[in-house]
Amino acid sequence: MTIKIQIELIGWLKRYSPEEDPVMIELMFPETVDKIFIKAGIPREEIGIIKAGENRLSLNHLISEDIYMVAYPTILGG
Amino acid sequence: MPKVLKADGMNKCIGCFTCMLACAGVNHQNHSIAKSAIKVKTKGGLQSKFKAIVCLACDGDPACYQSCPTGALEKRKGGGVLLKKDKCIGCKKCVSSCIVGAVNFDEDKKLPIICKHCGVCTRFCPHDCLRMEEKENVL
Amino acid sequence: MFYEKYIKVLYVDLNNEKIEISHRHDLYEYLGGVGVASKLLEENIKPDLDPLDPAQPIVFAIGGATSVFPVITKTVAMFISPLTGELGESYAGGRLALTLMMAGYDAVVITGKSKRPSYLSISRNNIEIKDARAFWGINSDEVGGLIREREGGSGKRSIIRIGQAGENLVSYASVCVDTYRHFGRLGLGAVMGSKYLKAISVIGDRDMPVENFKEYFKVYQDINKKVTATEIMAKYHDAGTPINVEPLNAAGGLPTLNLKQNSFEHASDISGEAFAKNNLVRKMACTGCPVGCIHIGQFRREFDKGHEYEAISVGYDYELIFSLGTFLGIKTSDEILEIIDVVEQYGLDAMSVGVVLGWATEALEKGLVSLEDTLVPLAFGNAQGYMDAIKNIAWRKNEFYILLGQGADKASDIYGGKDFAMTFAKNEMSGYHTGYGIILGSVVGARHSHLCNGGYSLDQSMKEFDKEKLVEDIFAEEKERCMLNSLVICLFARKVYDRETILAALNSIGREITNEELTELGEKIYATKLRIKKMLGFDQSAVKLPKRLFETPSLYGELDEDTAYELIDMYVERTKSLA
Repeated sequence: MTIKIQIELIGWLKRYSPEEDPVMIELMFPETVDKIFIKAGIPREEIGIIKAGENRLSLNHLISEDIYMVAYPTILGG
Repeated sequence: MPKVLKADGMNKCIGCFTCMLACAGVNHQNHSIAKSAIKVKTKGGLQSKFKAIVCLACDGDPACYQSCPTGALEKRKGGGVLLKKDKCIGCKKCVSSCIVGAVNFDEDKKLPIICKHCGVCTRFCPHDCLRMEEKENVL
Repeated sequence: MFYEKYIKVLYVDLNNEKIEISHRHDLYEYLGGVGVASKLLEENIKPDLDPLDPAQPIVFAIGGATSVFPVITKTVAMFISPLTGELGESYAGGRLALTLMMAGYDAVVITGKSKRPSYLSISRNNIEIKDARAFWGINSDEVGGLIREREGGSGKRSIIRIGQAGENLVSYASVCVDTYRHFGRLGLGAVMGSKYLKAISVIGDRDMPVENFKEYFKVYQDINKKVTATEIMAKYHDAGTPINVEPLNAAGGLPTLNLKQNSFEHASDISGEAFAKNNLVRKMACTGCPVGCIHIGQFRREFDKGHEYEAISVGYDYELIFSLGTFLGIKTSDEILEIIDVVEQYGLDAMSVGVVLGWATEALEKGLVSLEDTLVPLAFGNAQGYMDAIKNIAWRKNEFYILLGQGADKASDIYGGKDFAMTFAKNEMSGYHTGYGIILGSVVGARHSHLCNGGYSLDQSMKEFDKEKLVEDIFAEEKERCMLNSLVICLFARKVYDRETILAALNSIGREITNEELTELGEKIYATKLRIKKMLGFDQSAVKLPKRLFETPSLYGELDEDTAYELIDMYVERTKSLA
């Protein structure tokens, strides 16, 4: 039984997955959000907010079920 | 083959002046963009586009070469001229002879500023506005 | 001055039309930029007189490494702010730093008032106070064109100018620098207006031999590569700062409808992508910066029946999409650009005017003011109403608009509604409702700007809320930016200019300085600014925060008023070590 992860990338983050949108990751075991994004090839310093529905997810959050996440880039100083 | 400067991507120019800073630095060891051979200006205020005034590497006998009374400008392979400083008397006839305004004058050194087509400006342009093109030697 | 051990200061006395040039060896240790400017400001201000008294100074200063390294492009202006009544400090890019450097001046101090409208013309061999009587009353764009025709030096020239808002002494009137950049915040435009100084034109072409070319050029190329060949600066060029709209919206940190909300239903229609897709026509740079972060958007306006159209181009950035967009409920990119155009023509701070109008809209909603006062129906989403209101502010149309022109804090003193007058120590808020970081940072920042210490960044990066750490981080960043602003780097490049890079750059142009000295410099400058604020009567502990900050949840969650005040007290305690 795999865990199916979908990651929608917003704005600047789209460049890390130009082909696949949303990014599809399959896990054999529960993993933290942090590790999932490393698997997806997205540099941690570029990631701002991660949301699943209305909830904000921290990088330490353990994912053990199918989930649809939306990842936003960091806020630029302006 | 000799190369000449082509400023044919100026529609993309962002007006950063890095080309001028690089030219003045490398060719004159000077921080001042007034020493640069390439001149970037607006066509008429910052709401208009930028243009580059550059030496067009005229073939045959360029007007600047012909205007010089002392032979201080020698014809260059690929077009344009090279300045021989020791022969220059600072008369400025070359400045007025260039009908695209590509010859400027260094008032501190009393010498014309002549583009060498060295390509330094093209290496520093961040937006692909400038390039070097190979040209047949028709000297 | 590079390779010299003094700061070259140009003093201009508009009363007597007298010029004086001074080689200030004593200011050399302050490097340049805000370091030099704050000392000159301290020397010249008259704390007992009104901010707009002719005796008050305007100080401009360029940095110790200006223009000859990439992205070191800014000039600082320091003055007494008519908006806050205390420290005025503002930064602008464009061509001003390069041309001042090439004209041969590190700093300019302007005092007095001209007998008639004038403009100042600075070049390497001449300084003149010229007639500007016919320019008075003309918008900033046209004046730029008129001065361009009268002055030589095209291609090596900077023109800074005020619009009617500055002439009419609106407290947050701005100064336009080379069409697309500004000294935006805190009202420098009004200070220039109070001196009858319509514009300043700077032309520079002096000889500047490089002393150690090999070393200098190596450092130049290293930095240039970091700036252009890596991703560090790429976002600023790509879609620019407007990319902030979507993440802030998703995270609930986007000030909307006078901060009644922290997100906007129409955010995706006015996001960075939307602007890029619908309106972006051009990107430009300040001179000396290969990034090109200036984004120009265009819209078509039908100005009359019979298919009469014109095309208008204006620069846009995140802060304007917030203040003249989400904060006022404006739903389309075209409308936002149209409002920006009006703001530009009259010469007002885009951020302050938007936030002030947000207050005014809610004040009208709640009946604190009536249509008799506002003259136009101010309502969230009604772009035309706001455009008319902006003109009324610039022209000081009636009692209400005179007060609006003095800021939301002043207007709410008279009409009420202080709880939703979104200011920090009288300077209108910036586009981030991200947590305690931005609140603390804006309130204690020397010039009450989000750029003083980047509090909004700390809100994003802090793993867990830690009061001591937040206070410490803001204190450290405020001092560090004092040092960076003496160079004067554009803060977009603060990741490129780490200590190692700064030292390499300064050493390569003959400036021997150590890492410890850079730290000390930041502290000295900050201490100077705090002294000036005290001289001008500023009391950090007396600042009140608008309650709306604690009613609308932030990106960080709901904020607690007591915690915010506690943080301010902790910070004030922390700064005592600087005395």
